[in-house]
Amino acid sequence: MKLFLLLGAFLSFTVVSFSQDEKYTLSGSLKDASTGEDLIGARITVVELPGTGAITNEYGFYSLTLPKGTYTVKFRSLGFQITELKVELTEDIKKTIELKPEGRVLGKVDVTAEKLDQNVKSAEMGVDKLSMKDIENIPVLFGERDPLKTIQLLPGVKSAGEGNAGFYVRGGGSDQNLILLDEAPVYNASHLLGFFSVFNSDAIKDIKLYKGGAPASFGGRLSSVLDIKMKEGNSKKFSASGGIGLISSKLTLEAPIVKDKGSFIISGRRTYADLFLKLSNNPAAQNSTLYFYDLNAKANYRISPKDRLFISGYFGRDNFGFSDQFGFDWGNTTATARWNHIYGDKLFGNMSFIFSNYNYKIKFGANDETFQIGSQIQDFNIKKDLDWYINENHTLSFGANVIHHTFKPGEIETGAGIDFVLNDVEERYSLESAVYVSNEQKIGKRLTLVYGLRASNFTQLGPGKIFTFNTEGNITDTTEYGRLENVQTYWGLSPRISSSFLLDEHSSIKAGYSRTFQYLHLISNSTASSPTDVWLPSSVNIKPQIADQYSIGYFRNFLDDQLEFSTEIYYKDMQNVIDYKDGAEVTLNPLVEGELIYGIGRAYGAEVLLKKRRGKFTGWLSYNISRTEKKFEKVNENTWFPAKQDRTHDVSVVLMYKIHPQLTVSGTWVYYTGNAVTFPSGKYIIDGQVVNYYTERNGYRMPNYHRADVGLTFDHKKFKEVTDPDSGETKRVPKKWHSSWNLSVYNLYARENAYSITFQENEQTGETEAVQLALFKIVPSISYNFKF
Amino acid sequence: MKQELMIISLILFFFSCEKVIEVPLDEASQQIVVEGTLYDQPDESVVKLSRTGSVYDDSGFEKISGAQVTVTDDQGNTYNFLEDGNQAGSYRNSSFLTQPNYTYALTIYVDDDTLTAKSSTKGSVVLDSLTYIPQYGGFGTEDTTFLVFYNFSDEAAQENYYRMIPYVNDERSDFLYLQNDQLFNGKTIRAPFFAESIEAGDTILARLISMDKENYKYFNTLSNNDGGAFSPTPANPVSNIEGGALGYFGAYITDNDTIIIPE
Repeated sequence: MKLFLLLGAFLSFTVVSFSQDEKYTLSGSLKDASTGEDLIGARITVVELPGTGAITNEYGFYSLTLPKGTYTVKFRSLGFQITELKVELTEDIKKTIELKPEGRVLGKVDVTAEKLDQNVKSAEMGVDKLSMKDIENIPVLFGERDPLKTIQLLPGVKSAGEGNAGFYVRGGGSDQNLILLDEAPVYNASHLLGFFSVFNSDAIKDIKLYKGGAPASFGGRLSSVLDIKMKEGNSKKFSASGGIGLISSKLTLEAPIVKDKGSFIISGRRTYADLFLKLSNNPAAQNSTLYFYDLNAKANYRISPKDRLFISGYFGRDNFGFSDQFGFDWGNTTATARWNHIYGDKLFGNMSFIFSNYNYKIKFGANDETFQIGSQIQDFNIKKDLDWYINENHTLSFGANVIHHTFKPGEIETGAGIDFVLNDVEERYSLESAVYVSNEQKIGKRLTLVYGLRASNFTQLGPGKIFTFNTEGNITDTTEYGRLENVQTYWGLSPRISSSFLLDEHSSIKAGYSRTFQYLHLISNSTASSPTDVWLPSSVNIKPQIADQYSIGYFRNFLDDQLEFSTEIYYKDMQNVIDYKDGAEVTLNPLVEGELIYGIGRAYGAEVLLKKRRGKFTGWLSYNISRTEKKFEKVNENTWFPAKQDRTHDVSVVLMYKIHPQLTVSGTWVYYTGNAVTFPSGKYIIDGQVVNYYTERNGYRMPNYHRADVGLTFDHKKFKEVTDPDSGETKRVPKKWHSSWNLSVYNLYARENAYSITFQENEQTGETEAVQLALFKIVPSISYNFKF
Repeated sequence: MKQELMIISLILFFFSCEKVIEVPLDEASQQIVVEGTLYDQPDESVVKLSRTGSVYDDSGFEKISGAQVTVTDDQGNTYNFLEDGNQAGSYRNSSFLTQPNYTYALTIYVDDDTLTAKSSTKGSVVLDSLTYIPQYGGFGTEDTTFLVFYNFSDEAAQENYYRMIPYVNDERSDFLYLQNDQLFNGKTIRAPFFAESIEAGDTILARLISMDKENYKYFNTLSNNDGGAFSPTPANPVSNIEGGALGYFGAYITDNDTIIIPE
């Protein structure tokens, strides 16, 4: 109850004035004219009223309330021609607008004078958006386009390691990122130990990364929110696209269900490295498997002008089997059902039912004599979000959600031939709920504020035997709880505010503060992303992690908004950060909570981004200087020490050059300071082995990392020349079949970047040597992509 | 997990490369290293004392001579361990044998330091059998190899921790095969020596060692500290020696079995 009072108090601060002098609302949705896909984040401006406008929400909905009058309204979105609409606003008007993609105008070069000043004007801070076009041309490992690898090239985002899809945002751990696919959390975003992400770029429409100050509608992770939206499918006509690559192939089909009313998309991908194993004449190799696949599907249908339904799902799995003696498979399943409803002209609502599951299974033995260990996390989530476009100065968002989590840390199954039954590691249940409200307010022409509050509750529920551990990791109490009995409750109040002050038409200053809570914790003590990493809920022993982030930034556009420059400085304070005791055993351990230690963390740094978005030559340069430290009572004598992801300097350069309408070359270069790492400072002999002696955690550095990749995309002609029999004029007619070749080289100058350094004895000489393992010395790849 | 290592090595086979590099390291101050192992077989119990050395120094490890080493049990018996005349730094008592369910205390006086440790034996153990299955080829090999399994029953009344040491044709394996009964309490434990390469005609002697939780913890953390990409942040194994030394002290109950793989 206290919570609602608080919220009420908060709401009363955001006093909204309703002037009832004649105002009318222009609302509707914005779509891509060629495919019918909703346009997210498109800008709507009013020529007669500079500084007034609206932005489409994630379903392409917009609502703009203006005084009675005649206006010229401009609709603009990146990559589309500007559309102008003359409206006589004497009543509420509903209008669905379709924008034509740019660059498909016959014979003309891109001449749009679109003002891409969104970065300067919006109050959002620490936000990066990526269009699929950005991703298409950037060279990547094995030619497998990957949104998670592309975001690692942005300032403040760091790769978790060579070729790894995991990432660190502003000093946060790779488990502190909330990765959402159509609102469903993806608990393990990696395939093949992190060398590929679970996101098939063909099925993805839009990616947004919040590095700090995420809207109040998001919660549950400390460092960032990566919001990925799947395509809706072409609602105009049937189309197919696909690609054939070195290690995988993919195919996407999309079509209208009823033209302009509903559509579906289905997209699949599979790797086939293991098919080569079948060619082997070795029986063990023939019986072995090693592959992954993903399936994305989505359908939407407009049941009435005010109601729309969406159903989307993801299913992906990695499979590894050795002979018939060992099997290991893991993967995510997500499903989202959504119902959009427009209440009047100003209130947009969405209700979502979300399911998410991640599990792994390891099977030993063959025939009847099998032994299988599994682990999973499963969520059911109900969520209601509302956007209320009150007037041109206020947009209020509010909502609530409840998630039921089930954790099964160790499920054990034995085959019929094994004559005993093993007990599972006990399941855990919890309920995570939140209510939020957030308002975007324009004050005068220059100042925009977004402020909000998210109140969350996390309750661990019975049944179960709950152990309480002391700081030594010994059990001090064991209590048996009944079904749905409340074991432990935590409350979290996270205020967020961000502001933007326009200095002039081309520059602004922004500042923000946000507090975030994380109630689920990934237990993984290895460097690489592992399928056996498990999630644990906050409990009597594990407190929620809390972060406070302060940031300030300067944004400026040059050369008619062709060049974007931004710099942000941040400071982040973290509480209840988790680490592991020396030699902690975290896999299948029912007492794993006794292996954890808790401390504090801090991260600070500065980010610079210079981006060129238009023209033949595009790309960006990003630089980040930062520090990330942790402090634990039992580590390094309770002093601050660098976290693994502490990298002083981090540089990314991305360049794309369109040599010719059909030919694009691209290149990237990354450089970063080596990770903090633990190396020995001595050695000794024990059990007949030479063993390293360590004096300090993370006291050394890996060598600095740098790498260049290049890519070349050749598009087959998109037009064929046809001579008009009457006039004799040559016309260009668009071809139905579009195809392109993509060549790329990963690690062009074959730098041997250290993936790991181990100190081991040389087998011949017995001398101790530092042995560096480098992956992917130089990896060329080729892929063929098509669309019709 | 070793299985993951297998996967990764498969994937990376064509791309990865290893080389020796120069990494400058700090010099840690010298520490005493204790390795005290008490067995239920005659002449096997020994306490070894040495010191740590520099990482890149390969002249061998300094042995500690002239220490005073005693072991007492919870029945009030005291055993002096005397330095072996042929092996500096090794302290022995030829009449000493561990008994099941005893607690032993080790005391060492070295220069000005006093080091102590405690370890308890568990109940007696029986290594029921060794069995094998043939493996027809594998990645990279065409020959038939054999996977040898060890089988023994766990005692339900106790928390048990085990280590298995296989000797393939008298060659002691370096690999640490560890087991605990957290999931298998009171059941038959059957697991393979998966890191050994065993061929027809080989003789495999396996030793089952039952140990206490602290020793298991020590070996478990020891097996995880190579600093590789799939290991946790490396750290010193969790020692049960008090007084400022590295290493461990363990009192064990053992059983052996042998199998010969037919030609």
